[in-house]
Amino acid sequence: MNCSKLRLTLKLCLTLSKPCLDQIFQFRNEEVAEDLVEVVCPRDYFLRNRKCINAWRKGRMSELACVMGPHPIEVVFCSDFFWTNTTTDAMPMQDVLHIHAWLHTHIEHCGRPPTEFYVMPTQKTRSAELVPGRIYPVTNSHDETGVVCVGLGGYAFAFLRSGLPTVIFNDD
Amino acid sequence: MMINLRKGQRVVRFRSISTAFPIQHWQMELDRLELSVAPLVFRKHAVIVLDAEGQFGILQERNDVIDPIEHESFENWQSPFSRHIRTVASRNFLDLEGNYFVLTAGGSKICMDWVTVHARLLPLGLHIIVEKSKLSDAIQLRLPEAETTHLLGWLRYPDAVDLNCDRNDLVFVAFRVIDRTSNRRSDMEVMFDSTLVHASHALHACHQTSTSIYKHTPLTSCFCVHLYACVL
Repeated sequence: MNCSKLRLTLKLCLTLSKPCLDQIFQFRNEEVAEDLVEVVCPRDYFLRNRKCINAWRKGRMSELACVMGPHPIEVVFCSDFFWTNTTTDAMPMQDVLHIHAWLHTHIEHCGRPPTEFYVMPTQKTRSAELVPGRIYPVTNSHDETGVVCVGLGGYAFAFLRSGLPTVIFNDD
Repeated sequence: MMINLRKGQRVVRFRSISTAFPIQHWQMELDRLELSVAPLVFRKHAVIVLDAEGQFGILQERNDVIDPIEHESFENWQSPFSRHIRTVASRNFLDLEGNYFVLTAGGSKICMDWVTVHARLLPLGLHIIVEKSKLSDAIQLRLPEAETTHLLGWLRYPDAVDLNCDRNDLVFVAFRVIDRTSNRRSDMEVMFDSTLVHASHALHACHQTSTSIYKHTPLTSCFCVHLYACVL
């Protein structure tokens, strides 16, 4: 391949790569061939996640649930999760359910997956399901940040620290 | 907390309030304050970009975030709250200040606030450039012969085999090689020691912009791999 052809090919690839990352329902490879039907119903969105473990594993999706959530492999390895000392070989995916509920709401309202997280009115979406003892970030529409933890240190209270310093990105 | 201020950024510091309340009221309390639970990055080997040079940082799991707590200093503290009710989960990634631990290429760990980390998180599947010489001999043998110095791959999640190793400083990358004569495709999954990557500046975050690739890699030396499959 001569230099100009290579340049053209590379430029084409790079130009198309970003839409490929954004349009998560249109990635195509042999691992997810059975899922090539276009997804238009929000319910299928969740089914697709279940079916596309391989694509998820190989990092061919860029959706929030993939970025923010745990890997199915880690679920198997995590055994010290539950409220008591009993061990189990499966971990409820509360965090994933939380972000999925948020994604679901966004898709229902906007018709497409979101590119970034934002604060929705609380009555719009389902309540988050937090893992006891795990510390979660919280934010509001005024860019105030904080953390919340249910059962901090194993004690019978919920902890909220709000008003943490944050960086605001200005337009200028 | 490490906050790299650049031009056009400012730090807004709110008054930090630590509040305790009954465990069954946590959702109502958040609603009252109009706070929403934000996404949490709680997977291992998540990679963020630390600076404009494309140096990577790797998020670390933290198990020591809860020090002996001065409960009485919390607002609304009540003595029944001090009752121990359960063993908590150990897999934490945030501390009580809202910071992640980030392992840098130099081997040091720094704290970064979660807003900054989320803004700099590199999604799985992001295209990155890897210096070909950093690949192991076994991998290089599988590459088609070409006078190329860099490969274009994508950030991947570690496989089950990869997770068995205890190292937490690895960057996981995958490539797809297409043989132009037979059109045969083969995938390669490799891992990089972030220290090596840092030392050689071999890996650059593309940030999905072509200018980054043009800047860091001579066009004639970049071998087009896997992208055909990705952009169909």
